[in-house]
Amino acid sequence: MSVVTIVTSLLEVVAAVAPGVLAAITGQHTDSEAIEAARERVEALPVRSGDDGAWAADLARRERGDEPTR
Amino acid sequence: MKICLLLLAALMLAACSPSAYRMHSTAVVTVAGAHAVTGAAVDAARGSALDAVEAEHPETGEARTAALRAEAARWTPAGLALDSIRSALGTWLSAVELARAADDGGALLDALLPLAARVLGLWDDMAALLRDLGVEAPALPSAVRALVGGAT
Repeated sequence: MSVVTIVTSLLEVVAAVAPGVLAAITGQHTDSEAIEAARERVEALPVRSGDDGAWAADLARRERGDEPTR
Repeated sequence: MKICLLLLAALMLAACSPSAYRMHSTAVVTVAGAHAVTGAAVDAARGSALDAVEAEHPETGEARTAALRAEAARWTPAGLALDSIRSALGTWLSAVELARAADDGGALLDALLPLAARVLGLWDDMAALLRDLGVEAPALPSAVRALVGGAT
């Protein structure tokens, strides 16, 4: 194996792992990953209003005189 | 050799610089975090108010139900405001996704910025509403306002 081959192989390895290493160092993701993470964050926010909202269930529980489940 | 180093440096800078899409995603996460904190504070304040009603009316019945519903109704606008912002954050994110898919150099993203700015207006309206209920909503970071042009 020639020196050129070794260097080329090393460069290929570096090129393959560099984006992941950079992302790990900088804490950044690809655009799609960042958008997906933001989407998950927003969807995790509870819905409060409406008949299916968290507050309707809480009010119904209080009206029945039930103890909180948590 | 120097050209190679400059090229490498440019590539690394490009890799490290957040794209506009990532900046908007981060802004959405930031507002979502503020939303979560504010929502928890509103839940706690509403819960305390309803606990006080239950303490005044320990027996279940019409009087207790009416009093609970009256107090709950006072908090309904706050719940609607929180849910409106949650929905607007989803719309903002959809705009970012659309702009990224279009891949037109950011022109579509610029055109969709009013959707993002809508969140800021809703946040300010909600903060005023919550102040009347005795809950203080945190101010959104200036970087978020700057990102969408400060328009409300």
